[in-house]
Amino acid sequence: MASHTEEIEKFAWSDLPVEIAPIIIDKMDTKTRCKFGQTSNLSQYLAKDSMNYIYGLKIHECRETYKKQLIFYFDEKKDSWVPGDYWLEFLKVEGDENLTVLCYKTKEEESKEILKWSEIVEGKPEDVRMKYIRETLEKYPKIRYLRIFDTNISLNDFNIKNLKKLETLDFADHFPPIDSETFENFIGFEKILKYKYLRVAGITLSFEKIMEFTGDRIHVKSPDFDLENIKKYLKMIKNEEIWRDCTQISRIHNHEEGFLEPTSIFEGLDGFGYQEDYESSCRFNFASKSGRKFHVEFDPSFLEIALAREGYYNSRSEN
Amino acid sequence: MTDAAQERSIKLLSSDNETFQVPRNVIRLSNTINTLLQDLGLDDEEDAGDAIPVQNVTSTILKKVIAWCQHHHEDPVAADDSDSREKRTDDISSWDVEFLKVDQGTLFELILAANYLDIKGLLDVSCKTVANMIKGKSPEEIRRTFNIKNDFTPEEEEQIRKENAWCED
Repeated sequence: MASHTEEIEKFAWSDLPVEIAPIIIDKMDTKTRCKFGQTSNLSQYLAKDSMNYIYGLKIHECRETYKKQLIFYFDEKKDSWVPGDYWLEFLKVEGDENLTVLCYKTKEEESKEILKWSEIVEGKPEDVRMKYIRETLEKYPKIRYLRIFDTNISLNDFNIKNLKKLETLDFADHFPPIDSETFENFIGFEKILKYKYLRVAGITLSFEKIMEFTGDRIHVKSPDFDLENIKKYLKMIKNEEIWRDCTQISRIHNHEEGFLEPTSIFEGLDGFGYQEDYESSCRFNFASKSGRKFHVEFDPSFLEIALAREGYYNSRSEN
Repeated sequence: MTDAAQERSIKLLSSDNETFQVPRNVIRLSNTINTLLQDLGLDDEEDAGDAIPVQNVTSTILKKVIAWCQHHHEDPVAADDSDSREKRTDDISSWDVEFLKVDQGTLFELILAANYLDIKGLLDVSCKTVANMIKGKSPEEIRRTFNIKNDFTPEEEEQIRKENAWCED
């Protein structure tokens, strides 16, 4: 620590140890935190990180300051931080044991309505929350984006078939996973394969079925998971232009087999950008010369083929 | 802790070698000192012996820290509000407000000292004071106040401004 001389006068935010800044940010109200987050890249990171811990109480504060857009970040997961051009993205309903999140894309007025509903069900038993979800889906049958997780809600509890406009279905963290048979009975693979985004932990699709998927992003189990099939799949990706445009190959990590030579998978395919691996899966991010970005993720138990093209999330908001 | 231990004093040695005699029941607010004394088996000793070096804290700051502890050592133990959902920064006592009317460098030094000595109350109130300094300021004003370098590209800055449009006045 500097002595109490002129040096002290030069103290800047960057002089604070890394563990202190989050403590200070945690004391800020949402609005102040947003302002602080606009000052630098590091500030933005810190503010966003802290945003993950905004709790339900903040709904009231945000509602009062609501103007052009409304952004809520209720989940602890970083990837839930999805800034939109407008509207509520996530709704948290916290019970004693489970966390239910209904991700709902809606218009401004409807968002406000849903916020009111959240007060009704917060901390209530599972059956109350299920009723809430069912009624919400009945009230808004034209939703396009549905994400529910960490709950044992059954497909029997709401009629997903009625959601004619649905294009994103994310049950990835649903527990217990919804199995393939249930899914087939309630929705049918033919329909879900036409979604723009499909992410369901429980269902199993063969490579042949996966190949029928016409959307941007799919994340399901595959019984055919092995490197040869990944390679086969990649080769079958219809938009070969993406592959031709890609540059540079870095090493590939497979959870079970360690680091692999990239050519072992991508032989015959032109390159890609970089990869990042984490504990249970490995994810490859691609950036093409033409600016498109997408990623592919492999996991011992999951295969995610994600053509999450640059602008995909933005287009979701624009829609 | 015994009554005798409560009544005795502890010597603290600042980073610039100034010694401070502090009543044990005053410095009890520092979890770092408490742990140190307990680990060394000195908590019940009549004479804790040599001064405890507080290497990261200057005499000027240590003096202020002791003054804060002196004022607050009889405060009831605050409930752990880590689960509190509401963020408040307007609950600083008038004494603390006056106490923390210091230059920014000193305030930051107090935060560092409170963190090092693990004095939760002082850390809380000093961090709230910094949060209050930021409140109501524009991003540019915050940058100037805390010497934060704007490392955004103009495009990034515009994008961030759009994302945060809802919090504009």
